Amino acid sequence: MRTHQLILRNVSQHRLSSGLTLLSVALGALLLSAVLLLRAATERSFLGPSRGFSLVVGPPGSRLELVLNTIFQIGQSPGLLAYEVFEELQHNPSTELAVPYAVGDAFRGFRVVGTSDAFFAPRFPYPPAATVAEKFATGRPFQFDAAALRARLAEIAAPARAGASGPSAADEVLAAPGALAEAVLGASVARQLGIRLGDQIEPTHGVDGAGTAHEHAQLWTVVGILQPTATPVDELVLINLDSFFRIPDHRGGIIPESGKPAISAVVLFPKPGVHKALLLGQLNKRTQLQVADVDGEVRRLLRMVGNVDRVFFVIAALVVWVGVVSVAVGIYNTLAARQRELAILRILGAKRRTLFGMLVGEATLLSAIGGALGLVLGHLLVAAGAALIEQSSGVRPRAWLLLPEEILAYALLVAAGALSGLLPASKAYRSDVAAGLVPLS
Amino acid sequence: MKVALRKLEHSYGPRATGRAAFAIAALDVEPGAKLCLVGSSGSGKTTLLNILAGVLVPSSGQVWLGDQELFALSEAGRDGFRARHIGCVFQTLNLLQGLSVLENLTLAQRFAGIAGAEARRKGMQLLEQFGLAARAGARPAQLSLGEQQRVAIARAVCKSPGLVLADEPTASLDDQNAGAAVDLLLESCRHSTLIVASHDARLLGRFASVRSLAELAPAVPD
Repeated sequence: MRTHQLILRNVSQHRLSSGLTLLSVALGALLLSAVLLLRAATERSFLGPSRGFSLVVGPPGSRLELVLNTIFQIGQSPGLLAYEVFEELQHNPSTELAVPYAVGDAFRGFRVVGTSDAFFAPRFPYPPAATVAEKFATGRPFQFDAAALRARLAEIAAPARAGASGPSAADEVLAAPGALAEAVLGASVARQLGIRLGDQIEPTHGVDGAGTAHEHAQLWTVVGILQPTATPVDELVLINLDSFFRIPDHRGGIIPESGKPAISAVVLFPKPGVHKALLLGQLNKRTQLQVADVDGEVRRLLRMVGNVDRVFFVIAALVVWVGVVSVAVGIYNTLAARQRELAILRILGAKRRTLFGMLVGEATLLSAIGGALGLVLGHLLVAAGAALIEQSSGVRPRAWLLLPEEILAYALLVAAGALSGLLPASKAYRSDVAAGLVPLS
Repeated sequence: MKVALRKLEHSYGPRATGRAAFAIAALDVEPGAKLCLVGSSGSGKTTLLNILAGVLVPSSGQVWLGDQELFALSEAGRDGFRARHIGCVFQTLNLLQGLSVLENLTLAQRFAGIAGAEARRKGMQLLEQFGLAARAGARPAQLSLGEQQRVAIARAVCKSPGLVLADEPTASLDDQNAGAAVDLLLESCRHSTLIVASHDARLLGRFASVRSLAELAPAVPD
């Protein structure tokens, strides 16, 4: 019989003590695993979708709010940005691509974004594709006429500058949806609502909840459905910016002080190299707008979240520590009852270091089994709650993925367990053989 | 294996003030001899056996087992020597409760350096000789006292030791089992030196050589 068989036999012989110790270790490992999985999911939910984006330009206010609203479709738009800023950025020598965003509507719980065909350019990161056609699972981009849009915006701005009130002939023109009332859906929108090409949709006013119907019935025809991206793009309804401004309710999207037509933000992609820095330098000097570095704001958000996350991690680590200590306590407490057994082993010829190694081995084994059990239970727990977690937070944890951090945590747990066995092992090492063999009666 | 003691003394506690357990000027046990050491409880029989087993370091003196001065070895050396050359039978049997009968035997052989398959073969062979083959997989708690004693003897002799030490091997047994145990012990130690410590009168007639500890160590009260 080898030492490892003896270790297994000892652990199984003291089933209750071993079982309770395993449970204690497993609980700590379970918590740690769940915290790590949720943290990874949170990071993935923000870092993943933000990858590929560079800058967002919007009205003055919170940069974080601007990025969350524009890239992640979270919260309210921080305000209005003059449309002319978009046109200026579009022609800036440092700009590779500029994409306008106008928000304010929703369709059955999904946000409607008025934008241009720049959204479908290969440079736009989602869906990732080398050509425009490859971005679509079916259909095509909506039609977009920049000149027509400028004309519409001029018509909108003119009555506003003149201070006119009440419906006008322009309203009647604008009220008509026209040939440009086309929509492109994100993959999740089409799938969840069962919408296909050719179907017509009616967005409602307001980005949250059911919204309110527009003054005039406005219908858009679905002409394209994007490839799935596993990002917030999947949950967008994209409409032509021209048709967005045709909605009479949206004519109020005028900056009161200037009377200029407004959008919500511009997603900006600088040319490679120094151009990002050049754009930041130029835009940061402007007081009527702000520019946010998407990656920087996301990391700042994760740092803020990470502080809370760190608390949970510390709690989980403490529970693991309690479990590891319980391994030592459990084995130590059995030593009195095992004094005779250890003495018998010595009299049979086992060396002191054999007993030492045996007890350290027991501690290591209990930690290893408990830790593995905890990891499995942690993953099962997260898997069972994944739908609920996603529903409440928008974060979808990947329960079936083993994280590198979990492997490291497991290795540290086993090592700590082995170390915790040193105390009982050292006592066994010093045990007196003759005293252990004294008859009990 | 020859056993020789020279000027062996052992005290409980510090030498200057402690009570001397015994002091043996000389004792020689020839290879293959069967010696029964008698003495009353507390006379030092167990202490002497523990010294002979190498688990208790005497206050002074020499213990020769064969050509080896036992206490010239380190503790680890004595452990290895004991594993290979000394078998022990205890008053309270001291079988490992978590192991089966056969595993108790194979473990003892493993410490003696006998490999797994060979150890199992020898163990089963011995259990067959002792009439315990059918109980090879049983735990000690499932055996009667007499069966446990036979397993303890089998464990002591399974590695073919040169010396077998038995401390009150019949203390827990009735007359029938005591007689059977002694017969088995004597039979299985045919080629080994056997030293039995006992105050059981039932044993005295079974041994060719019976020595009193009081005789060996005159300073110790009988």
